[in-house]
Amino acid sequence: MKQTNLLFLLVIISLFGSIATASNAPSNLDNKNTSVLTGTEGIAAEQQTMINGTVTDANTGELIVGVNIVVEGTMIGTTSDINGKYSLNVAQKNATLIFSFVGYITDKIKIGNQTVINLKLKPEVLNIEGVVVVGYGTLKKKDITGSITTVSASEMNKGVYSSPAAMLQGKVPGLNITASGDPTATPSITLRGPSTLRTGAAMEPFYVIDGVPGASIESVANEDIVTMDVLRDASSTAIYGSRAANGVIMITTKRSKDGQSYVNFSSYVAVENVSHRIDMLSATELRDYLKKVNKVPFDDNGGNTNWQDEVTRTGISQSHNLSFGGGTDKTTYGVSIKYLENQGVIKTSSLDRWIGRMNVEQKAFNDKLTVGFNLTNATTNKQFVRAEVYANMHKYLPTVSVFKPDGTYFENTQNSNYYNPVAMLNNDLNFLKTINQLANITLKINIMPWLTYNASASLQTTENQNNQYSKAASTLHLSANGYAIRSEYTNKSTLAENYFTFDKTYGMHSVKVLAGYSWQEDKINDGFQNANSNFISDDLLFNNLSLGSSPDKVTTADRFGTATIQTLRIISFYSRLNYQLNNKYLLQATIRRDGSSAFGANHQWGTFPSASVGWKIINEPFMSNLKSVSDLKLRVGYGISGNSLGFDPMISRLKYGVTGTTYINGVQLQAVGVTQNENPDLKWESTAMANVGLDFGFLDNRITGTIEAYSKQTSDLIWNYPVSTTKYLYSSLIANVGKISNKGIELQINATPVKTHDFQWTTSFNISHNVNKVVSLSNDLFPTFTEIRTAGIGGKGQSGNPAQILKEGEPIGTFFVRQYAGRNVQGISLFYKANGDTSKVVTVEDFKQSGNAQPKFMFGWNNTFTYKNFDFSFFLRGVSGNKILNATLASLNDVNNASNNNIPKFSLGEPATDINSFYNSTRYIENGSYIRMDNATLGYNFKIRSAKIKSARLYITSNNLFVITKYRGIDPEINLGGIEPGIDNNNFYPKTRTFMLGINLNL
Amino acid sequence: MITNISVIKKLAGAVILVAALFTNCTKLDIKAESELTPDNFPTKASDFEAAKGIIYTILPANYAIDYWRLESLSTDEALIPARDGNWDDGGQYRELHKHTWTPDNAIVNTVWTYSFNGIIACNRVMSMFDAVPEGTLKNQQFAELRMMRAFFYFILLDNYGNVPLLKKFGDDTPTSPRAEVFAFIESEVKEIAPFLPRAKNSVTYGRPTVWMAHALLAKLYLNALVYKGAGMYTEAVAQCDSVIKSGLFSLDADYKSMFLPTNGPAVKEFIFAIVYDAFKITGNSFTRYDLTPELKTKYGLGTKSPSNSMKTLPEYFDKFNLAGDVRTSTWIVGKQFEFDGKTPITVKTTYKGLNQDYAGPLSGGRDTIWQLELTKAIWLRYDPSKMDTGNDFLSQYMGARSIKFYPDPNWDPNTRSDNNDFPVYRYADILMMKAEAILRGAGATNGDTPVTLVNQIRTRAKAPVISANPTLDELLDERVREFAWEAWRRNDLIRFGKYSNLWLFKDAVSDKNHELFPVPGNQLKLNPKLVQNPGY
Repeated sequence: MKQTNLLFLLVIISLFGSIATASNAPSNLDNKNTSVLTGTEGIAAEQQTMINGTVTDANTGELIVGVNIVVEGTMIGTTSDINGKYSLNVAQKNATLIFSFVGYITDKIKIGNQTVINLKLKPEVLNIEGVVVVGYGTLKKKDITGSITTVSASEMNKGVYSSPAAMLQGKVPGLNITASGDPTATPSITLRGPSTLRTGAAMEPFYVIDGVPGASIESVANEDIVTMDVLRDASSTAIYGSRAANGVIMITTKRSKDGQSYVNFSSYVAVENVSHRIDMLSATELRDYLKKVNKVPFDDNGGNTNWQDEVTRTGISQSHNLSFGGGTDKTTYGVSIKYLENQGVIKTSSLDRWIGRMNVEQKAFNDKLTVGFNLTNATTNKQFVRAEVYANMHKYLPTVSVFKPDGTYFENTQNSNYYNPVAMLNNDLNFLKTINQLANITLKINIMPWLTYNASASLQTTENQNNQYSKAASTLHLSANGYAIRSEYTNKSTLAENYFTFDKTYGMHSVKVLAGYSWQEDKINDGFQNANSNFISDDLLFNNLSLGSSPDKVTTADRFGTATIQTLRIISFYSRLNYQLNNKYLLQATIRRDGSSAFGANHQWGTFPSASVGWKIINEPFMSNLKSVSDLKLRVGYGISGNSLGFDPMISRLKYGVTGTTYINGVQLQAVGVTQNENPDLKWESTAMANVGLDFGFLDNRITGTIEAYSKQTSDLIWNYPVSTTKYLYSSLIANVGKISNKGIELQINATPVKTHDFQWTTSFNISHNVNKVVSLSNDLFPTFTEIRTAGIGGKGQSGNPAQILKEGEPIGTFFVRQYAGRNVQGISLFYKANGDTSKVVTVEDFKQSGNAQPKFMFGWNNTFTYKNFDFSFFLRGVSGNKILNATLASLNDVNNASNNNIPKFSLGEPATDINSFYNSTRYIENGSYIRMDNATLGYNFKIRSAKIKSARLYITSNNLFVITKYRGIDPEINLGGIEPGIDNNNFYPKTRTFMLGINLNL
Repeated sequence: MITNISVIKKLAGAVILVAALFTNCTKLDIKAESELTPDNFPTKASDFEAAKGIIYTILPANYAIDYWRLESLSTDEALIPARDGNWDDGGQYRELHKHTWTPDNAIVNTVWTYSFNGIIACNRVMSMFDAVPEGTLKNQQFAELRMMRAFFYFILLDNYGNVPLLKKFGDDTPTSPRAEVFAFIESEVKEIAPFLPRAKNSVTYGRPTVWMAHALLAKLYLNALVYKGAGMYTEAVAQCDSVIKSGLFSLDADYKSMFLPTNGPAVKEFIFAIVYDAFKITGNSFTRYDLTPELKTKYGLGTKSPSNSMKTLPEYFDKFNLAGDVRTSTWIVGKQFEFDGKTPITVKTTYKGLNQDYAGPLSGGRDTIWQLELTKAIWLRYDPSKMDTGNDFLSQYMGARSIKFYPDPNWDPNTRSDNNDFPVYRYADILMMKAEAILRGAGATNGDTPVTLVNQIRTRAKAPVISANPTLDELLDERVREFAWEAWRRNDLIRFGKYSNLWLFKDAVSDKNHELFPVPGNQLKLNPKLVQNPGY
C-alpha cells in the first residue's frame, strides 16, 4: 500500500511538474520550430521543384481559400489564395504534400513527377459522424453494437446555456432534460426513465470529458465541444461499471489535428424576457373584489404594485469565445478562452464564468510516443435568489407600495412565509464562487502497430466559496441586525487510468481488445464555514465577520456548517472485446470489476458484464438487389451497470454526530449520538438492460434512422427505510430493497428531402416512449413496506399531506391527492371520501392516486434550410401524456384569504365563498403536454474570398418563441428529475424568451 | 532507431510495472477524517459524558410540545381548534380533543417514538459502558442511565400501557402487559436509587437524583390502581415523605417566578425539570402557541409573531375561582390593556374582518377600531365536525390564554423557542400527592393531613385556606389550579375516572379503552412482535 502511495505521489508530482513547465511551453515550441525551419531551408537550396494547383470542395466544387499545404516532415508550406490556388517550391521529388483545412479531411499526396496538383478536399462532417466515442477509445459508427447517439456541434441547441447539457435537450431519444430559466440552476437529466429513488447526482448521467471520467461539465465551454456521444444502453455503458446506470455522456472538445492551425472567434449578445406570467389582480381589482365580500386588504397603503414587474427585468447576456490552435505534425496545441455572462430575468440572479483551456500534445520516437497535457480553469460566479421570492411575487398584496414613505421596505411579519419579494432580493444575498481546475497528462505508446498503451493521470480541484448576508432589515433573520455566513470548501479528485489496446485483423477476423485499470479518489468538503450576526453596518456585507458581535445568536449549523470530509475511492479493472467476422457479424463483450469504498464491508466489489452482437445485413449478398436500401444493421445487447453516484462514502458505516446541546454539570455541552446505522451489506443499485436496435438507411442514406427498444430493470434500490428503534441504534437504515423497471421504444429519423445546388432541406425527428414502474419496495427485511408517501408540499392546512405516492406497480411521480367532487350549494369545494360520499373535509385516507408525471412521449423535430448563403433552422420539441400538479395555482386560488394574499384573475371565476378552493386535488392535476418552438435561427454565411478569413457567419436566434399547451401555470416544463417530478409548487423560476445575435469567425 | 525502440521497450516495461503495482493496490479502506465513527469514538472516559448527553437532548425534544399535547389536548385543559382550515393539520388535535384518535394519529406516534428513542439511547450508552470495570463509578453511571430509562418507561406505562421491555441494547422482546411494565419500573428505580446523587444544586439540576426516584415512585404508586388494579397509597405516602424529610425542597414564595424564562437551579421546589434554551435546547414554544400576534409588542417579543393557536376550555378556566389566588393571574382573558392597566390595545379592522358572520350593511372601508378582547367562550363556525372556529378576529381571540410559562422576550424569533425550563416533578406535587393518597385511604404521617398539606399550597398561592378535608373532586380542582399547563391533566383525569367524560366539543362519552393510546400503526408495521391495545 505504501509503495503504491509513493508511486501515485510520483505521478502527481510529475503532473504538477508539467503544470509548472507548461507556462514555458509556447516559447519552447517557437524555438523548436525555428530550428526545424532553418534546417530545411538548408536542404531546399540544393534542388527545387515548383508545384502548383487549385484546391476545391469535393462536394460542391467551390474553391477553398486558406488551405494549409505543408511538405511532410518539414515546416515548408503555404496556403491557398482567394482563388483556391497555391504554389510551392519543394526540395525532394519523393516528398508528400499535406493539405489540411478546418472542416475538411486532411489529405496527403505524393508528389512524384507531378508539378500540378489539383485537389478536391472532402468535408470532414462525414468523418465526425462516422466515429463514435465509446469509452477508452473510439469505434466506427458502422461497427457499433450498442445504443449510442452522437450529437455534433452543428446539431446542438443554440441559446444562452450555462450548462452544455442544455444543448442536448430534445436531440437524443430517451434523454429527458428539463431546464429552468434560472441561470444558476443546472438542468435535470434522466435517461430512459428514472431508475433510482435517490436524487441529485444519483439520477444524472455520468460525464466523461475528453477521456476524464467524472470531470466537471461546467468547466467546458459550449463552443469548444465538437461532439457529445450519449451512451444509452447497458452494453455501451457497462465499461464504466458502477457509475454508468444512468447512461454516460462523452464530451469531445476541439483540438488541432496534425498541426492544422485555426483561430475561431464566436460571440453573442442575448436579451431574455419572462415568457409567461400568472395574471394576478391589480390593487384596484383586489380592492373591488374584497369590497364585494365586505372585506378589505389586510395591508393597504394606497399602493398599486405589480410585484412580478418589480422583481423581474430584461436579462442581458453575452458570451465571447476565442480559440486557436495549430502546430506541426509532431506538436499540436490548442487554447480556448471563454467568457459568459448570464443575467437572470429575476433581478440579482446571475451567473458569470471564465473558462481557460489549453492542451499540448507532442509526438516522439517516430510518432510511437505521444504525450499530452491539458489544463482547464473555470471560474464561475453565481448569485442566487431565495425560493420565497417566487411565491411572494404572486401572492404579496398589490395594495401596498414597495417602500414605505420613510424609504424602508414595506414588510408585514405577522403572516408566515410572507415576504416583500423586492426587499428579499436586496436584503438576503447569496453568492457562490466556484473555481474548477483540471490538469490531465496523457501518455500513449504504440508498442507494436497492433498494440497501444495509454496512461493518464488527472487532478481536478473544485473550490466553492459561498458568501451569504442578510441585512439588518431582513425579515428572514429578524432582529439579527445583520447575519453573515462564509464558507470555503475544496473538492479534489485524483485519477489514474492505464489501458492497453490490441487491434489486429486476421483475414475475415477483426479483433480489438481493451484491458485497463483505474484508480480514483475523490475527497470532498475539505474546508470550513463561519458565521456571525449583529453587525455594525450592512455596508461591508460578509467581508469582515469580526465586525459582528453575536456569534452565539447564529445556529451551530450556520456557524460551522454541516459539511464533512468525504473520501471516496474507486478502483476498477475493465476489459472489452470487439470481434468482427467478414464485415458482417459483430460481437462486443465488456466486463468491469469495480471496488468502491462507499459500500458495506461485505459488498465493496461488484462485477458489471455486458455483451452485444450486431449483424450488418446490408453486407449480405441478398441485399445487393435492394438498391434503395443503403444501410441495414441489427443490434442486440444486454448488460449490467451500477449506480453509485451521489453517495456519502460513509454511507454504510455507523456514525455518531452532535445530536444537540445538553445541560450537564451546570454548563451546556455538545451531546453525541448515533446518526446513522451501520449496514455492512449495502451495495450499489444495479441496472440490467436489454436493447434491440435497427439502423437503416435508404436512397444512398438520404434517409437514415434508428429504431430501438429496451427493457431496463434496476434492482437493489437504495432507500432510507424507517426501522424499529427497538432493534436499531437509529430510526432509519439505508438498505438495498426495491426494484424499478423502465421499458421503452425510440425512433430517430434523419432525412434530406430536398437537395439542389442552391437549396437544401435537412430534417431530423426523434420520438421516444418510456413506461416506468416501481416493481417493488419490499423484501424479506422490509416485508410490509409497499408504498412511500412523498412530496409533502405543505401549504395552508396541508402540512404533512403527501402529493405523490411511490407504490409497487405504479410509476415514480404518481399523484396522490384529494378527489375533487364539485362544489356544494354554498359554493364550497367537496371531495370524495374513501367510501364514495362527498365531504368538505377529508383525510389522507381518502386520497387516491390520480395520474402521473411521467411523459408517455417525448419528441424533437429539427429542420434546417440552406439557400445560397442563408440558412434557417427551427427546432420543435415537446412531451405528451404527462400530468402536472399545479400547486401554485391551488395555493394562489385561496379566495377566502384574498385579504391576506393576492389572488390570480383565474379566481374571479370562482365562488368567493369557497373556503376549500386552495386544497391540492384532482382539480389541479393538469395535462402537462406541450410543444415548444425551442429554437429558430437565421444565419448568413459571408463568402469572403480572402486568405485571412476562412469563414464568417452572422446569425440571430430566438429561443422559446411559443409554447402550445393547455397547462394553466407559468410553463409546463416542470422539473421531471428526482422522485417528486411534475410538481409546480411556487418554486418556479420563470421561463424565458431569448433573442440573440451572434457571430462566428474562422481565421 | 534501435535505441529508440529499446527506449520504448524500457519505457513500456516501466509502465507495465507501474500498472502492475497499481493492480496490487485494491485497498478500499478509508479512515473517517471529520466524522465520529467506531474507529474514533468513544475511546476515552470523557467521551462518555458526550455519549450520555444524547439522553438529555432527546428528553427536551418532544416533552413540552408533543408529549404535552398528548396529555393536555386530550382533556378539557387545552384546545387547538382549526381556523378556516389552518391548524387542522390532518385532524391530529381534533382527534385528541374528541377522543377519536386512531393508531395513525401523528402525536400518538411521536410520543411513542420519543419514549423508545430515550430508552434505546439509555441502553445503547450502557452498552458502550460495558467495558468499564465494575465499581462505584460504573454503578453511578448506570444508575443515572437506568433512572432515565425508567422515566421514559413511565411515559409508556401511563400512555400505552403494554409495551416491550427492552433491558439491554439489541433486545427484541415482545409486548409485556402493563403490570409487568409497572413491576419493571418499580424494581429498577428501587435498585438504583442508592447510587443516585442526593444533592440538589446546579450540578444535579436537570438530571436524575434520588429525589427524582422518590417522586417517580410516588406517581407510580398513586396511580397503581390504574396501572395494575391495586392501590398502593401507603407506599405513595412513604415516597412523598422521603422527599419531604430530606429538607432540600420547599415551596417558592412567588408561585409565578417558577415558570419565568429565567427559571433554573435556583427554584426551590423543582425535583426534576427539563432544561430548555431558546437557541441551543429547543422544544419549549408556549409563547408561540399561546400568545396572539397583537400582544407581541406588549410582551417585548420583537418582530416575529406568536401563532395564536392554543387556548383553554371555559369550564377549565372556571375552576380558577378563588379570591386572591395568584394562580388566576397566569391567564389572560377579557379586554386587553398595556401594563399600565388602562391603555387599551387595539387593532383597526372591518366589521367583516372582526366577525366573518357580520351581515350588516357593506362598508368596504376600515371602519372599526377594536380593542382586543379574549373571550372565555369558544364557538364553532362552518361544519362542527371540523372543529373550526373560523379565522376572523373574534375567532382568533376566543379562549383564555395561559401565560404561566411567561412570554420570553429573549426567545429565538426564527424557531420561536423559549428559555423557560419545564418542571416534571415539583415539591407542590409531592404535597398534593400525599394529601390525595391519604384521602384515598393511606395513613397520615408526620402530622400531615390533607388539610395542612393543601393549605401549604393555598397559602403560597394567596388563596383562601380550607378547614375541612377536601373531597376528591375538590382536590382534583386544586390540582387544576396548581398544575395547569404542566401536562398532568390526563393522568389526573384517568385516576379520578373522569377522562371519558364530556367537555366542550367532545359530545360523546369515550370508550374506556381510550385511557390507553393505541400502538402507532406504523410501529406495528415495523415490528410485527408488537401487540395492539384493546379497542383499536
